[in-house]
Amino acid sequence: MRRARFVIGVAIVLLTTSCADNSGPVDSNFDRTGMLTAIADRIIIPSYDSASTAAADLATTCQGALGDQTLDVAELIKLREAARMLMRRTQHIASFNFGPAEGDFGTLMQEIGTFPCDTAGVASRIASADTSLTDFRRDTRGLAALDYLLWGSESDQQTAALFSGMQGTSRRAYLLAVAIRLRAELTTVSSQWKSTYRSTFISRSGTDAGSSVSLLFNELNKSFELLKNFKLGLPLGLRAGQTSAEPTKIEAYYSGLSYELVGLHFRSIKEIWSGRLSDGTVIPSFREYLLAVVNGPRLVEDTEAQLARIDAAYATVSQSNMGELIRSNPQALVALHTELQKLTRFIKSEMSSLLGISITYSSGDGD
Amino acid sequence: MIDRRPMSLAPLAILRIIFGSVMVISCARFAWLGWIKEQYIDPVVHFPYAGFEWVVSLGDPGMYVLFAVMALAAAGVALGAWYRISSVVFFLSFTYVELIDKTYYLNHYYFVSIAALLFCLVPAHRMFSIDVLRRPDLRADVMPRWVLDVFKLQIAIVYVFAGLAKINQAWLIDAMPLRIWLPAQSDLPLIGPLMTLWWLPWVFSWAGMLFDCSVPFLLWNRRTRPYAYAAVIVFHVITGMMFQIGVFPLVMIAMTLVFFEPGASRTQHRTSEVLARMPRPLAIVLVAHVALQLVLPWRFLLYPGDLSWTEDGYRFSWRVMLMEKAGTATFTVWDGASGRGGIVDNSEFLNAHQEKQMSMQPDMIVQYAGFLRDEFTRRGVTRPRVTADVWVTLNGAPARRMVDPQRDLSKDQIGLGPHSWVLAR
Repeated sequence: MRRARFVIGVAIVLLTTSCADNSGPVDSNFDRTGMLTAIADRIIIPSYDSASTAAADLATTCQGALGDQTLDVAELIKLREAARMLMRRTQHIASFNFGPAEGDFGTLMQEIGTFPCDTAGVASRIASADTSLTDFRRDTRGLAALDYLLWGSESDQQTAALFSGMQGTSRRAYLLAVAIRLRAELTTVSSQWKSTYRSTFISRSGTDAGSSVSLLFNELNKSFELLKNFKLGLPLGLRAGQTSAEPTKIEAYYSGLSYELVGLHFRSIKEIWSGRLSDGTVIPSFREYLLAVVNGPRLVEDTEAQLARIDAAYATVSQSNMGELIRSNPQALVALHTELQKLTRFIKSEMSSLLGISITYSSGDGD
Repeated sequence: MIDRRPMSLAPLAILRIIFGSVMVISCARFAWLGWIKEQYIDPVVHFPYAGFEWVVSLGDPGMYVLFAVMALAAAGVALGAWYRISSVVFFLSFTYVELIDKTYYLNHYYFVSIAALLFCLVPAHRMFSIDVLRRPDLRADVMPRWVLDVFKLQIAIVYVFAGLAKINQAWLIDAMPLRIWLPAQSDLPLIGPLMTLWWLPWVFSWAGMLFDCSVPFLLWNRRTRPYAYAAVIVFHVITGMMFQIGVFPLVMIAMTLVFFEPGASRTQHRTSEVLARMPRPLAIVLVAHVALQLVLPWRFLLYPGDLSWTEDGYRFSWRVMLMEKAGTATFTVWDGASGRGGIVDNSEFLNAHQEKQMSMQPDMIVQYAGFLRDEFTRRGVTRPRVTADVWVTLNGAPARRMVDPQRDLSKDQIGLGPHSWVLAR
């Protein structure tokens, strides 16, 4: 009995002394359900909504512009504007490639976002008037095909001419099919989020494998890796085994929108992490979650400092055509890539470690 | 000290039935969850143990066959059917699988391997078994007491070393990593809301340490046994709910039943000569085994540096759920001719589980560097050098560099020597 009392006494002394150096013990009851609700309602669903609206606009514009036998330059410019809008808005859904976005034969972003375009494949499909778009050659459709079809020729007149007359019939049909397919893909996922998946997403508020927090975290990191490794690393020739830069292997190569899209993709990742929306409101997200856990404030500080360095590195370049940039000024892009690389450990290992998030998708046993 | 009276063989036979059954369940669960494919067939690279590089994945359908054989052998153990063969086949097949890739190392798999080995050595099939039905002369009612004591001793070793490992500053004073892990569990049914109480990690840390250190003794003592067993159930059920530890709680709840045994046999049994005394070679094997078990967990003392950082001597030491460690490892492959460096996309070669484990474990980092050297040599890189920028966070502390980012890790070798490529923490 005496010994037990002694042990308890020692424990209490140790406890009180060890707490003394903290700012005071606080229960860490962060409301994960609230975070998931806010992210679903303020980021995910509006992002899918605006992307699918843009896809619907594009499809309607296509139907209008391609209805007759000719495409004039004014119509082409309208089409391009609609396509640009869609490309920009899909950057905001790039990190939500789970749940309804997981199809039987691949994910939404694989389906619509695979790049670079297989231009020969597109040409042969047009030549054979094949608009089925159902096989695994995703680089012949989606946003990459849109980019190639609308911007792939030397001049606006040339591009418009290719869509005109009898010889343009198949090309018109193909562009329309691509646009309609994009609309279908995006609308499906968007409406599933609104109808059933929202409540599923919010209800899985644990941190184990398969929980929404774990999905969100893992997909955020996958999206970040895609941005860093494939939108920048690969075209810059920074990947192991590459012997030179490959400036054509970029997203939106023909429209020259690539660097802007890189920026939007990163902004969307930052938004999910920080919960700071474009209208200035702040919703609970990973940042606020980290602030509620032990050692979290330090990581928030480190992460924010690195995010600022990335923003600064991004801002040193003002030109949007990355293909040309890689040829003329790759150093600026390599510097951006380096800063992105440094962010990895903050949002990947350190964040998952502090939040106790399962990093694997299936629940492998641990001990 | 040593109780020389013979005892009934029934507890051993029952333990055999329980162990075999849990292993059948475990094999079926593994296959059902798709882990055979995910962990042993899909990966392009595995992380074998030093000296066991010859243990390789058997691929598809080889791995499925191996698991089928393992499950069949486990059933053989449970039923006591062709027991000598079944027990040896189970031990070998289970251990083979565990040796393929250290990514999936778990202390409880190690425990299963040891238990399987012990079952190979004892006459657990001489009661309640198909073998006795086949050959009634095998039947024996009593056995020497040591047979069961070996199992008890092994279990005691597991708990006590797990408890001793918890006696450190991080676990007891800082309540790490439970201060990270418990709040993440606030969604559990019933006990969830408690998980966010600020003082709970200290209670759990101290309770866990005291439980591990004392439970074998309390199980051994007849008066405290029922309470100790109740504590075993509560402890393992709670940890089972909280952490992804699979069948481990079931294994321990089942195996600790060994402490329940009937008193000394009162009636006269016919005891075969073999069972009356321990054969000498067996005695030597068992003494050597126990001695090794008592020494192995201390081997970390031979290595310099912080054990939880360098992990020299970390495995096979019953350090269970002891730290929260995670890393990000970025590898660069350098062409010896052009000097050009390229960054490796780990997901090209590793699954998420492998990458997670590799990114914080020094020996796996070096093994991966060796793999990358060979892989990129094959892809045409000239005399590749492999460097890595590895940042590891331990128990929520800011991440630190684990290796010199200039060092060519493909030249380092894993073995019994210290992980000399690891920077001081």
